[in-house]
Amino acid sequence: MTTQLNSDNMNVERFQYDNKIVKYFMIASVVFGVVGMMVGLIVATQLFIPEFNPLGQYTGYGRIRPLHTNAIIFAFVGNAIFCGIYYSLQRLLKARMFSDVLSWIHFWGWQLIIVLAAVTLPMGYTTSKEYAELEWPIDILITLVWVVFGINMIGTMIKRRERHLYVAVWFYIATWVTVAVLHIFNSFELPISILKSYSVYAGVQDALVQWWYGHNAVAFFLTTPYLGLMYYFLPKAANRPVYSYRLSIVHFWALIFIYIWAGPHHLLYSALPDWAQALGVVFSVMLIAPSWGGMVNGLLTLRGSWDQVRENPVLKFMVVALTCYGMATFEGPMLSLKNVNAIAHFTDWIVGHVHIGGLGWNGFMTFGILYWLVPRMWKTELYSVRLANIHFWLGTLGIIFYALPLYFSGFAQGLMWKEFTEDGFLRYPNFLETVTSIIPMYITRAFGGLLYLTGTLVMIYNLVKTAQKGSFVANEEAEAVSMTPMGHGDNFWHRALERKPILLTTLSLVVILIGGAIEIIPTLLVKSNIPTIATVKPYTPLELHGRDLYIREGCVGCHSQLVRPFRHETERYGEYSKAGEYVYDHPFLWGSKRTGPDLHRLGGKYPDSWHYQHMLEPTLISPGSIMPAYGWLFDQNVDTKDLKAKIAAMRTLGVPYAEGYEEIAEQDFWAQADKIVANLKKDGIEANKEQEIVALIAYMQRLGTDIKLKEQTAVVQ
Amino acid sequence: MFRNVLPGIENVDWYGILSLLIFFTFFTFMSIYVWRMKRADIQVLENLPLEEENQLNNTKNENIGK
Ligand code: HEC
Repeated sequence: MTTQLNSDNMNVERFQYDNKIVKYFMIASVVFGVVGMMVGLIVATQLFIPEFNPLGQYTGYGRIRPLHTNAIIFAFVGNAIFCGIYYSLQRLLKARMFSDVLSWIHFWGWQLIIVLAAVTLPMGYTTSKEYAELEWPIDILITLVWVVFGINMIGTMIKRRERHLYVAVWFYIATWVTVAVLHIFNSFELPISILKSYSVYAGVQDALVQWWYGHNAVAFFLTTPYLGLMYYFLPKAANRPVYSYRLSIVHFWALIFIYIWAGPHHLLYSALPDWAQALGVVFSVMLIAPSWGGMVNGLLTLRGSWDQVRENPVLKFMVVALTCYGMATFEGPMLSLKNVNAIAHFTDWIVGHVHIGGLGWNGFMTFGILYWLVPRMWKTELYSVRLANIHFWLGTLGIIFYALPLYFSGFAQGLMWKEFTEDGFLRYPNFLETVTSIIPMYITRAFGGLLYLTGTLVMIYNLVKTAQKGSFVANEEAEAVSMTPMGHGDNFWHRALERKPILLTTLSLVVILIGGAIEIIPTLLVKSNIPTIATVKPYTPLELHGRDLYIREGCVGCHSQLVRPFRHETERYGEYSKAGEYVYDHPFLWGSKRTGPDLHRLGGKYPDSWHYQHMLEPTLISPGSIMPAYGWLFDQNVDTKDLKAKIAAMRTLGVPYAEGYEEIAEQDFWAQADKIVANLKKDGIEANKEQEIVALIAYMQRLGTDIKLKEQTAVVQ
Repeated sequence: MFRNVLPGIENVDWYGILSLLIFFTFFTFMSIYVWRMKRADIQVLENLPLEEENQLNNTKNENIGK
């Protein structure tokens, strides 16, 4: 670089930073954070008091568990990200945001999405894909708002007055690009009606795309933007530069490169191809390096000033946040080792793991930033350091009381599932037994959540008091040298610099696409390569409807449909799951948590009447069960008006329903319902073929039977 | 069960090797680039968040020129 600064053409510009938008995102984050935590507390309570269901179906476990995850990820953390980015980006680039109008469209658009989610999820409108549950019109809205955010951010970079882009800005860019790609690819779905769609991917492919998304949502929504914030706010709070800027660059590129490959570790021992699983494991283990690089870089920034940490609540929160980040990113790779995964997968261990990340890393980093930001934007001092310290201890204890019991229960239950007696029988053949033994852990966990929430309320009080005694500066005056006149009249550097954000955006995109492409493309080719199992047939119209009810109720939040090839699983559930069995599953319903037993081989296990009674009152059939009762499925009638559209849509997606079948589908629908009603009658149950439960029973009795049929024929021959 | 899923793609084993190769190439070049960055530049960069927000910092701009 040869440009020499010449004081003649030094052009000092005065401008204002927009603090109001930062304030609004902050308030939204805190308000939705409390809501999200409260929903979490309800969900946690339902696991030991299943009758605790204040609004009936609208607060059913399966429906509001996704409400909790969405509220925390997209509302609490999402708004906190925007709050931090809008504050730091303006300062790092010495420019006001590109456009106030876009800022406000971004803000209100995002809140609209959250409100829509809060309405549709409890009503049962869901795609059932984790962290991507929102239905297609909301998906489109998310895309639009995300584009607005991107234009606003890159626009600011282009009109910036600081030639260098600090590493935090890189993290913001990578976040934006990657989330855009992930969201679009995972949201390909074929609409049936205004709030119902089917994923265009089926079975194994759907699972891979979903967990490529799910894993990277963790990476690029919960991690990279927060690392960016860490690289800005931690040096600010400690008033010293980051420990090693070189390390931060290596950290950045290595992290975004490696993360994108690790997704398949969510699908070990599943019907996913071996090589993809192996790749997921290798890259997951490699992830430790850049993750810890980031943690170490953060912690070493505080070297020699630990006395400051003891005094300063902001730094305290950030230190625990970084420590939790280190723990979670150590544990993640461990969990992706196949032998650890074999025990931990489907258990509470994973729930504990994500909460170390969520409560510790995201939560505490957010709190640290807020304690730093509010006094600054209101031009005053923090109302009470003592209260902040109380919050710190409540929060820390909350994390411990939350995570430790779940590690214990996850480990204990995982071992119980696979324990055999000396005679070669399962020691705990009754799944429920493994559940009831860990219920004390669920109670402790909820207590931890309560502590954490209480701490958050203490913070809100403290911050409101702080704001009250200060005065808010909506537009903060600033001045900086304009960047334009630096180039001796020739525009070369100017243009090159303008291009830099675009270049960086493109580079990040290329980096993440390499990983994405190598992983996804071959799997998309799998379709033609999945060994077709001749006996696997499309769902009947009634079963399809039942499946949609299963999706609506979020049964997938407690039940997997994936028998792994372990002896203890085949012993407990039956033949392990084959890739070819899922070819008509739009979307896949493998699940990620076994609070109840796997259901993939459920069909034919019990009579229809068993299901009827079990769904009505699980504890009557399985004393001590924590499965919620589904009374409303008995009061509500099926609605067949979308049946034609559903059949047609499935055929478009490649399910071999005969041409014109949708016209006669409804006959088949009622004929099968009649049969189930007749079955129930034999057992003395008066059911009505229009009840939703009838369709659900049809689906449950179908599960996993295609293979059994085949085996039976094999035996007969 | 997995092995029979992808017989259609030849040499599927190479996907893993290829991925690692791409990564290590990328990583090597990045490390060299980072290693060769100038100290002065690093100092400018790492101090960016610490500048007083509404104050000019001329020393910094001079550094860039070198
Ligand atoms: C809060 C978690 C939870 C949710 C949500 C849930 N279940 Fe369950 N489910 C359980 C537990 C625990 C058991 C084991 C005890 C029992 O039999 O009730 C179970 C058992 C079952 C069984 C018996 C399985 C067997 O092989 O014995 C079926 C069938 C079942 N659930 C279906 C469903 C359906 C359908 C839904 C959605 C409408 C659903 N469950 C939602 C927790 C849940």
